[in-house]
Amino acid sequence: MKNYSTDLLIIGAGAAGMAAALKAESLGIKVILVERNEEMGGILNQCIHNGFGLHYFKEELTGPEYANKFENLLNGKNITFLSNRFLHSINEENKEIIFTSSEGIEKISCKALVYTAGARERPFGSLLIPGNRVSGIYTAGMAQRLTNIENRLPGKKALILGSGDIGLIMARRLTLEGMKVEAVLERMPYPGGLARNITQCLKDFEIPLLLSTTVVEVRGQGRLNEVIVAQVDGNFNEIKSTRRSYSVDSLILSVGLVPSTTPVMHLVEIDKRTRGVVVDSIMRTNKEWVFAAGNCVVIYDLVDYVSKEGEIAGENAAKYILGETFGKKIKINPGNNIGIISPSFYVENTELELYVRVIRPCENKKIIVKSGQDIIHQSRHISMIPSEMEHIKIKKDKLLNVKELTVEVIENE
Amino acid sequence: MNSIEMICIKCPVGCKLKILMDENNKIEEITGFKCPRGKEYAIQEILNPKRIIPTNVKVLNGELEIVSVKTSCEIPKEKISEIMNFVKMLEVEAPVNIGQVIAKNILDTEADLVATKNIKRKEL
Amino acid sequence: MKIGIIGGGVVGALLAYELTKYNVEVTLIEKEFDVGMGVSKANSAIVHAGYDDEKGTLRSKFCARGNELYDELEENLDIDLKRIGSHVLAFKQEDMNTLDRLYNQGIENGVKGLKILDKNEIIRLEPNINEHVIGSLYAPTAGITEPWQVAIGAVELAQKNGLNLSLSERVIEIKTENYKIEKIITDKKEYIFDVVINAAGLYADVISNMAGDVSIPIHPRQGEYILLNKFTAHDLVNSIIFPPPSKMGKGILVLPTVDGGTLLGPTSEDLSYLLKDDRTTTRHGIDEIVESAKKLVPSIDVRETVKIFSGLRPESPNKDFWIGKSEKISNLFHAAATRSPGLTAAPAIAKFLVEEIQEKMKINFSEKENYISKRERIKNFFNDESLEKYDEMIKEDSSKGKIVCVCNKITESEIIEAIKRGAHTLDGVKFRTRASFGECQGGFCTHKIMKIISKQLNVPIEDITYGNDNSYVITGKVRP
Repeated sequence: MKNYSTDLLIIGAGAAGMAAALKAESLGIKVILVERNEEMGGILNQCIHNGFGLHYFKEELTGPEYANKFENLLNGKNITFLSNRFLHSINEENKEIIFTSSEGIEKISCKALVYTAGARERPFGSLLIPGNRVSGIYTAGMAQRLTNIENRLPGKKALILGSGDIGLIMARRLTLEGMKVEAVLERMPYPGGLARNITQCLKDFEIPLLLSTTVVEVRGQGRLNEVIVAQVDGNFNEIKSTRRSYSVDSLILSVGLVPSTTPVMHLVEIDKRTRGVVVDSIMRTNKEWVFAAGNCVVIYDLVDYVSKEGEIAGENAAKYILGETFGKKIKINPGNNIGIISPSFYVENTELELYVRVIRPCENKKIIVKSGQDIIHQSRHISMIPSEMEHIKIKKDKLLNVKELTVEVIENE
Repeated sequence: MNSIEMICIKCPVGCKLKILMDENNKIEEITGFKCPRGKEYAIQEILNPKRIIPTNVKVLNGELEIVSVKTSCEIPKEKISEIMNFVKMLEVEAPVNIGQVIAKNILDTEADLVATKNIKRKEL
Repeated sequence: MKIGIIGGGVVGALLAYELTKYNVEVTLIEKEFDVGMGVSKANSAIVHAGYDDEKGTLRSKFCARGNELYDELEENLDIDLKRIGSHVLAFKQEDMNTLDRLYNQGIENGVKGLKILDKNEIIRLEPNINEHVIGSLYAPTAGITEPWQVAIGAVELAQKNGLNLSLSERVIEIKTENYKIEKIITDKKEYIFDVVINAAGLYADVISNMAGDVSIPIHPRQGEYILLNKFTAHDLVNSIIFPPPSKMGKGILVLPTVDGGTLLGPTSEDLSYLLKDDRTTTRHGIDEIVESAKKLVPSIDVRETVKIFSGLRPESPNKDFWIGKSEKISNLFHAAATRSPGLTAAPAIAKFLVEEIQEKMKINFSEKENYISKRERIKNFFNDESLEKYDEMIKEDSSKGKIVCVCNKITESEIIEAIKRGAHTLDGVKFRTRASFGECQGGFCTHKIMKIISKQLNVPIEDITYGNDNSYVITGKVRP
């Protein structure tokens, strides 16, 4: 068995892991970056559309270009990149992480770990949609992989369930490549993805967006050939009289991402609400030597945020290795109309970058952050919907001696 | 006097733009943009809507069968079908380098078709 | 002596397993692309204790004995068997009376270890159960297995001992003369057998009619299921939890799977005999499962669902098995209507029929010399081997170090082995290795598995299906 020893081990070389590696190395830390696939870049390699890097690199890039920029930055550096390695187990006591590879078992000893393993897609089964057991039902990521990397078409005529960005992007992709996308269905009364994608993916191609509509049955013999849709009421119950039938051979699902936390579920605390790794404002988990960032913590809208968080994780893991100690952890609580908050804790004497999603859409409302009863931050947001993250930065001088923090939306002014 | 609403697609923010047109269908006023690109976008979208197209080109003898590409600048929206038909006919020999121009000035749009990924040559 | 078995489900497979212990020539004809893909594929996977079968029924004759025989199957076929026990719950006094009745019935049927538990005892063993429970009938011999594994394992071992296996082959005509089967004609060829065994599951009546026998009509009784995520919804219950029984059957259960997940179901709905292939799930079925399962284990969260599916039981009008020599056709034997507890009873039915055939046909089978008595499953190296051993294995064969299914840690080597053992579809690979069975349900690995099948069998990816011919995945190339 091969043995490695390093300061910092990073699991997952996607947008968060690559940024963490770069940052940690710049602080003089020895880094091993491990990836289960052949290449770096993670999901970016199959996201061939634009929209990445406007914040981080100040230019608009496609996914592969964004990944490539990081790869180039990493190439000159003293970072060991191990690809085609799969996480086997973590030995907490001696901080030894074991991997499988086609050359044998490898053990990596480290002083700190950054976990940046991304997310997976919710499968069709989790939607509890009745009907026949048929082929032709894909998650959007799978359809994306097939069309953009494997050079294969998933079908001829499609319906897309879920108007999140992945679904909208695939609506355009599949249409450009010759498939007929009949409609995009969204069970909420408002769209799930960025407004720009509604324009450039749906409106441009005259693909209807049916809100408050979902799939209620799938039919076919072997292969899908019919999808029954219906409108839903406020409780997402089907309004039977609105049932309509579409004759399609593919159903593409964009119904949510779930943080990939199973490999570390016994090592660190997982948030029951977000299903992601619980971290504080320095991206540290409840174990002092383990940090996490990216989609395995919370599902982000923009890859730029993911890389930023990866940087924070890399930086603080490096500081931890160099012997720095960190301040007290203070709980951050979701208040009125706040569904998702990351991070879950504030570490004294650090900058705070909050990522927040509301539960109910609202217009022109204030988000406030309270320390105990004192308001320490407020900002007005013109249009807030659950599918768009609000990014709130609070400088550490506003956060001196804070008590438990609460983030809430003020709806009655 | 009528007004058109649209979402700027220049960046993920997606500012809601409002364009006021006069009786001669000339632009009178544009509001809602958070940066100058929004204003430019509105004007362009009214006159001659343009888009950047991401797609794939067939690769010969590469580790992957296709390489992801994009148009180097925006092309007229109405030409999307025509351009896609053109792209479907293209082939490029591996290795392909990111940034490599696969086709210059496609269909007189002044946009090049540019590779966005590295594709190594397939080992035999 | 030539014996033909029609139907490669658990029953047909175990018959092949038993018969190939002897010097007889055995052929198994199965209409699906693989064995165990009919009734056997979608059921509760329970090896029942045997208290639930009334005296005088064939069920009571075979169930408890079949339960015992599963130890032999675990040993010889290398299948999963977990004797986790079962509880039939009682919520009111009349339920307790039912438990007493079942207890006595179980004793009569030869079931070992049965016990009536009081409230404290059951709650101590199953802390997540509805607190209004007042007692349970505990059967320690009940267990869980993976039914398609039983069929696959039995057939693989039978093949090692000379079984002729024919897949994707459908019987279309049976020629008889003087009430004796002369020829079996399929869509591929013709066979002459001395003895024919009808183990055709949902189509047993169709086969029987083809032979001119008086048949017991088989209609499908549908059962829907919900499967919960094994990582986030495990340990809800430690054993199989039954509600108080009703007229419709054993009821909707909550039970662990051998894989570590939690299974909810089944519903029970009689379907028309025309719908023998109709494995649909329904809205009302799913809702019924959720409602009933929560009555047993209130903390169930169906947001943890990974999959819903539906199975069909081959039901007969008298709700009992159809086993034994045909009364009319001299060389035809039936092993059919194996509705619950069919999976449990199957090994006992198989052994019984081996004796029955010899007795009724007046012959004695001689035991095979050089009989191969065991078969090994496809090992999951990642999870089952020690690190040192695993490391050695990878150095000998690098495909053992390439993970294909990231959720269940299945390697390329196991996928290749499954293909070598006969899998040529995604389901074939899936059911032999558990690849695609995990959290992401094939999201990360389906394209990889297709590429491996394509390479191993030299078929284009476009031609690969999930199971039946029409379940294709790819419709063409993006750039041809």
